[in-house]
Amino acid sequence: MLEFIEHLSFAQFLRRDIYAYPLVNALHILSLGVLVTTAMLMDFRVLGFGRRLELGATVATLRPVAIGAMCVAVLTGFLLFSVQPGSYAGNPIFVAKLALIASALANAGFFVMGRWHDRAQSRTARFSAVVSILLWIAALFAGRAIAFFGGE
Amino acid sequence: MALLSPRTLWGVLVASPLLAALPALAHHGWSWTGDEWFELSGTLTEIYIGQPHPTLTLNDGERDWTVELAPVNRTLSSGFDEDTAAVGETVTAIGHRALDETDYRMKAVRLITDAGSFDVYPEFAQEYDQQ
Repeated sequence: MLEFIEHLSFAQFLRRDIYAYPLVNALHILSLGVLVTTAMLMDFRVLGFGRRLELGATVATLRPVAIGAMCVAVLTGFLLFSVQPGSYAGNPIFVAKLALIASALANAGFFVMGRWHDRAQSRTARFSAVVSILLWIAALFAGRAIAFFGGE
Repeated sequence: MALLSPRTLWGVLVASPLLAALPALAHHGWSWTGDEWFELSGTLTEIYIGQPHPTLTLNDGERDWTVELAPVNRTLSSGFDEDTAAVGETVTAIGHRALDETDYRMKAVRLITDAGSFDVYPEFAQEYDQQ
């Protein structure tokens, strides 16, 4: 599977092109920045900050932005991964980052499916918001750490 | 939570991306290498000329060393590519080794192979010649 990804034509192009990789890298940073920021703004609003913004309108505005940013982040992330799939797959920090993202998305899915923003005062909603903030920050730090630790 | 005012928490929220950016200052460039020149000869075991970092692995008979080269465009413009040296041949790298000597890693300014000499950082290779 990893070898298959490595031999895809866009992976080979990204590996060698001078401009494509930095461009995809920048788009990844842009999208994850938007995703983590909008997710945390919703979480803090659930926790009672920024009450001058109505909760339902805040979620209705920011959630589609977060989901769109997540799609771009996943796509660009896969492109960056495809350049050296074996090296990333064998990097424990990269694997930890994926686990943190999966946990954050599962938590977000739970919150969305349960319509917990309608019960933002509840202990469950507040707990989910705190967990979300911690997981997204941890995922961001783990992502940045890939370049510094755990590599070959 | 009661100890922190909303204003303080907003401050932490705004500052956290800045904190996350800090380690980036330490990664690129030469800050992680020593000032002394360092020369390593070994058997080429791996070669990768591509994004994000072109690297070689050289075995000096005792262990594998990771040799980091210049960014892709600079490495290629020195004339060095993946087919310039073959796995199994002896390659010499001149540059600077990691300050952390438990990390068997160096950053090369010049590579010497059977095919010739390649200055991936010509300005620093010139400094080496003038020393």
